[in-house]
Amino acid sequence: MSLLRLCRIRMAAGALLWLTATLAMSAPYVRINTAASSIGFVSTQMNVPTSGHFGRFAAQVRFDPAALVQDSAQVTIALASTDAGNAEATGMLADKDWFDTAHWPEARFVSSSFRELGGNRYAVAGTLTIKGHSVPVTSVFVATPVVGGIRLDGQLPLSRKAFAIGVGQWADTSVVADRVVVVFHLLVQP
Amino acid sequence: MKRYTRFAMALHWLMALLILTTLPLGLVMEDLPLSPHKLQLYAWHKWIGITVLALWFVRAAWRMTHPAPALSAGMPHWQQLAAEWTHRTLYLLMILIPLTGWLMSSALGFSVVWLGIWKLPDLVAPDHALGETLKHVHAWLNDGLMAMLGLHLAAVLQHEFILKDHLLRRMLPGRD
Repeated sequence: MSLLRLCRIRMAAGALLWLTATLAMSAPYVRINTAASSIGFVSTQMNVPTSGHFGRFAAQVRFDPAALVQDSAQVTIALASTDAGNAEATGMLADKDWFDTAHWPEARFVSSSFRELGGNRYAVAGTLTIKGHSVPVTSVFVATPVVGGIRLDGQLPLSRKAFAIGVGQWADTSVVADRVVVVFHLLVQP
Repeated sequence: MKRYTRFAMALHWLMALLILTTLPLGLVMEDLPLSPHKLQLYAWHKWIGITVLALWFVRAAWRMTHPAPALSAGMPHWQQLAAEWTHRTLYLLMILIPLTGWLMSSALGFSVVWLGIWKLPDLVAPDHALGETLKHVHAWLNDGLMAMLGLHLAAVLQHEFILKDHLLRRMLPGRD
């Protein structure tokens, strides 16, 4: 038997094993472990990237890499729980010019479709609603199976102006950049 | 009268200009309400401070390899000592102040991006309590700097208008 053929057989066997393993664990991941998950963001002021995070959020996720058509995600963030990474900035976020949390307490993402990008990478398209503005957005994430669940680590870039976040004197994007990147690490369990 | 070299003069006056810009900027910006203008001032303050820090190494290297031009003959010993130690303290403050500024910026979770182009490494991990402490040290060192600059300037005025030995010319271009 030639070496090449041996390799082919081994590869086929490997693929079969992988397929079996995938089918065996194809139960969808549906329960989000909030304690082991986080949602934050990176904003940029004067070209200085600054990290912040959201203290409270809730999510209904159904993620099954083998059945992307059926997958869905709904994430709701309590904007009053935002920590901008600096007390002065955090104190300002509730203001009318920023989140106006008195009128718009939540940010909400609702998925419309999932797409496989290859190599554990996926894209999810959906609608993000903040301050009454609903905007189509796309997030790319990596799904990593771990013991007892799957980790979804990804980013969602957005335009703050599209949601009227930071208006009035803050509208100038040469100081606070328009682009804000939401960064998430979710642990979803079966 | 023997003067400093043109290179030393250029460094001295450039750093004087930068320090006398960023120091008042620092005093003013802290108490401003948060606004885009305030963020701009903070950025400029840090850019200038980091520039001073970089120039410090050039200047210190020059100074270590070149003796300062002689002081006036017959200057009392205590005045020579005072001049020596004021200059030593000024050199020390010129490196400690930008360094503590950079450190506090890192500790408070803000990287320093020089001229908005070059992201400097964070010297310490974010630590709010450390950041607050460094902020006080930074301010305290600046109080020291203002006192030393006052002494420096008083000495210039004394030599220029009371002793009339025109020591200032050592730091001004012109013919010997």
